[in-house]
Amino acid sequence: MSTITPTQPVAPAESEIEVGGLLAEFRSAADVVSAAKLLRRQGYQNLEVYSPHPIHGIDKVLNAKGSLLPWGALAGAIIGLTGGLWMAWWMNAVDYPFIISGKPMFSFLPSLPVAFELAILLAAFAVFGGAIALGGLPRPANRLFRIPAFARATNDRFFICVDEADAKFQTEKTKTLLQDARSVRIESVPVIDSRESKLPRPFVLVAIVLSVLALIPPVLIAKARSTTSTLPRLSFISDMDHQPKFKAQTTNSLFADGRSMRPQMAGTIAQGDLRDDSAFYRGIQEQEAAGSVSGDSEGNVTFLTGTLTANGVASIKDEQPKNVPKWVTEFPVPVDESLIRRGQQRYEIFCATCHGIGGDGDGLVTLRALELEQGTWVKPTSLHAEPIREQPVGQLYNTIANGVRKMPGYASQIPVRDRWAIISYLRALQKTRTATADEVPADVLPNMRELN
Amino acid sequence: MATATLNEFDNTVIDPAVRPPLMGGENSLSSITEQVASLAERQHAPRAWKIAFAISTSLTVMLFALIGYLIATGIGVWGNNSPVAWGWPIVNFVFWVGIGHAGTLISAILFLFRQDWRTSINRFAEAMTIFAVMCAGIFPAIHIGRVWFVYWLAPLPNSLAMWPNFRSPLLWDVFAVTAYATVSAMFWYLGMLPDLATLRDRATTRIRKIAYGIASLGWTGSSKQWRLFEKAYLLLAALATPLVLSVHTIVSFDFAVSQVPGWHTTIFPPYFVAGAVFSGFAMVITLMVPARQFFGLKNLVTLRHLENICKIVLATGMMVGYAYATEFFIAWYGGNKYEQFAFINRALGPYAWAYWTMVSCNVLAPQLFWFKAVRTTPWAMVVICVLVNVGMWFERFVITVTSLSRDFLPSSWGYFTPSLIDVLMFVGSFGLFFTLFLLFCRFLPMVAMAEVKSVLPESGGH
Repeated sequence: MSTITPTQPVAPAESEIEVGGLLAEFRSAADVVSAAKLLRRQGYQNLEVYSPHPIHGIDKVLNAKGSLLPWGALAGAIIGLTGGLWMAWWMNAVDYPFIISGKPMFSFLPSLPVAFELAILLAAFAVFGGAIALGGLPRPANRLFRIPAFARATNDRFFICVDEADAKFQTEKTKTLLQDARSVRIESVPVIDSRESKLPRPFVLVAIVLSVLALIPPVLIAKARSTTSTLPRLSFISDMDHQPKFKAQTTNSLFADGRSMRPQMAGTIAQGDLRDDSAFYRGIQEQEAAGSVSGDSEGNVTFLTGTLTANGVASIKDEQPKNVPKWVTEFPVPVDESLIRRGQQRYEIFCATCHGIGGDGDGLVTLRALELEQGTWVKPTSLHAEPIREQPVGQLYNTIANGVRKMPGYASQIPVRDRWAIISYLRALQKTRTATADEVPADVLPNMRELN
Repeated sequence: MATATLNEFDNTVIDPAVRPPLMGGENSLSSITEQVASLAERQHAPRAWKIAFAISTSLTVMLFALIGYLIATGIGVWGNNSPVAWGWPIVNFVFWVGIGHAGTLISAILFLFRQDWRTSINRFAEAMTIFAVMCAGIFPAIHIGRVWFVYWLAPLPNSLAMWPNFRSPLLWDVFAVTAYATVSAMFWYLGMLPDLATLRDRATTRIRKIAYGIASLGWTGSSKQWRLFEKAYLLLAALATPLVLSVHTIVSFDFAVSQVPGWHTTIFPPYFVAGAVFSGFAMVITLMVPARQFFGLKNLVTLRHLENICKIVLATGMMVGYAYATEFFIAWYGGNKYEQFAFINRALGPYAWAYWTMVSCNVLAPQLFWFKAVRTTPWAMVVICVLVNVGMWFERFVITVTSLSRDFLPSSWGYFTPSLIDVLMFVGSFGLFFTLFLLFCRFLPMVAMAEVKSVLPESGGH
């Protein structure tokens, strides 16, 4: 567009039509500031100054408005801070409650570091993005770039561009004005070319094709997530999904019998096999302990109401099978004072926390749980209640070993002998509430005083 | 402004009546452009650059090969083992993050304090920050073992319907380091926009025109852009300042929030931040002295710049030394036997060699900076600053390894020995750092031209 050769007078006839504005070059910041002042005094509005470094005071001359950037930073910081706190609260207290040592699900201070970092990050995004966008960037094409002399705007020269859209703009007059303001060179700026503001056609086509192609993977993922498939799932990194090991009930060519599972070696005993004293280890009478699953006296396994006999013929029974084991009613260990003392000590370690020292179901854990009122706690039954008092020792033993209702089994914590010791102490504990005067040894009775 | 005219180049003389110039020699707008931009425009790289680049890229390749080996094999290839589950990888992480801090300090905090001398070195230091944070980020990322689950660190919806624990300092760390890397990169890039435009306008080949044209986003230097630029730069500096303090604070929380004796102390945040600034400035000297020599930037990066940095190294070194002393005092005064043992064990236990290396390098070596002759002799400062970096690596080693190797129960004590992979990976991280740095020196404006121009006397600078 620039048909005018630089530094030569502009031919009036063509300039009035062709010129999009004037670009004047200056040697120093001081010159460009005074030129801008001059033009402003003359009433020019549509000015822009270009310089290799920021010129202080130019904003006042050009009557520039304050920027929105600080407000953007403030908004970013507020969103980051509240968003961070909300994230910590919603993720750790609502959607996936993190229970850590009974602490509150949400607390302010530990949520602060993330919220603080997000506040800074979002504020910085707002500032950075704001500075780029408000500055009209990115803008790869610019009509000023067509003027070779303008390249020095980022090096050592200062420029003023007066747009022809300015009400005061008159090519010759403006040019004279700029020359008087010590401009060293004046160029005419090409008018805005309509091609400039448009992307080249191939770019547009490629962009459309790429954006359509980019939709394919998310669509496929969405389809895969919402439908079922008979194929095994794709495993890019198998982690420990597939382990080289022999599983139970599978074949294995390594052994002559073709089985993965190995029979017991001659002369060895499997763990737990020595525990054949059913009364001691299980609290159940000997004859009941034949099978590991409860069954009837003929050794047949019962499944709910059906019975599978030894020869494989199933018969349906009309009545409910009696699956209650025959509990041991007598202690399978000798009970003496040392056993009861041991039992008391173990009881106070393992049982009293929930059941209470006196066995009334008022242990510290219970009291705290009831205080929290979270609705998940079942108060333990008082050990002095009638049904507990009447339970055979075998059943009590079974409760300690395997648990009952909400109470977990303590088999892994309390050894077999200690379980019996606890039961012996429990029996003594129960006696403290029910014993009559004639059950108390005669030599102790005079030392007792009336309670309540 | 009274400006001393110095023919022979010594602006370290302090004369209260004369304000020493920020730069040496006769500088004009175009001479600065010429001097800085020509470094990034050379057709062929100098021989020394090629040799350095060949070495550092080889080390980088080694680093990534070892990372591949580690991912394929598992983190057992490191020396990490119970009780020292945090070995060199975490030491290296803290070391590299700390180095980064000087860059932000120079670019943000000195900017807020209107320390104009920073303009010659801030680009350089910011680049160092970003590359150091990149090196730092690698170590915790591969330390998680199954790197393909690295996205579990972020609060992203996943098939486990599970969220990260917001009360864990390790999660805070993820946010802090990511925010720090992002904000530093934005700060660096925004500051570089005008200089990229300079390179674009000087470009002679088509490839350079297109590359710098895209990178500079069409910057013209209009007063509107400068207004936004200055405002944004100020705001980013104001945001980066609390950020840089928070990052190493949170890194120190990784240790301080745990209950291991020697870690569970409230002094850690300020102590870590001072240590980070200390090591970062030492690294600036280590890089800056050879670079100004090699690239002929002596009149922009003057001896006075280096002297100022030496003073900061001395000051922060004393803070670090004070923190060492305070730790011991509190261990004694606090009356906690485990804490007392942890510190006696540090100084006199099996890692005493590491402890006293740390003290000599960090506390004793910088004391030489009390002498002006040392502060103004480039080779002497490089030697001291390399020692400081060695010492700061050992500081993190001492904190991490001595505390973990002997915590509460003597039955679980152990002695940590790094594996060869540990050592090679640390060396490789230096390779990555220098590769990025050499690329930066070759293709990007090493000195913030526009900022230097604005502090020239002729532009009404200060």
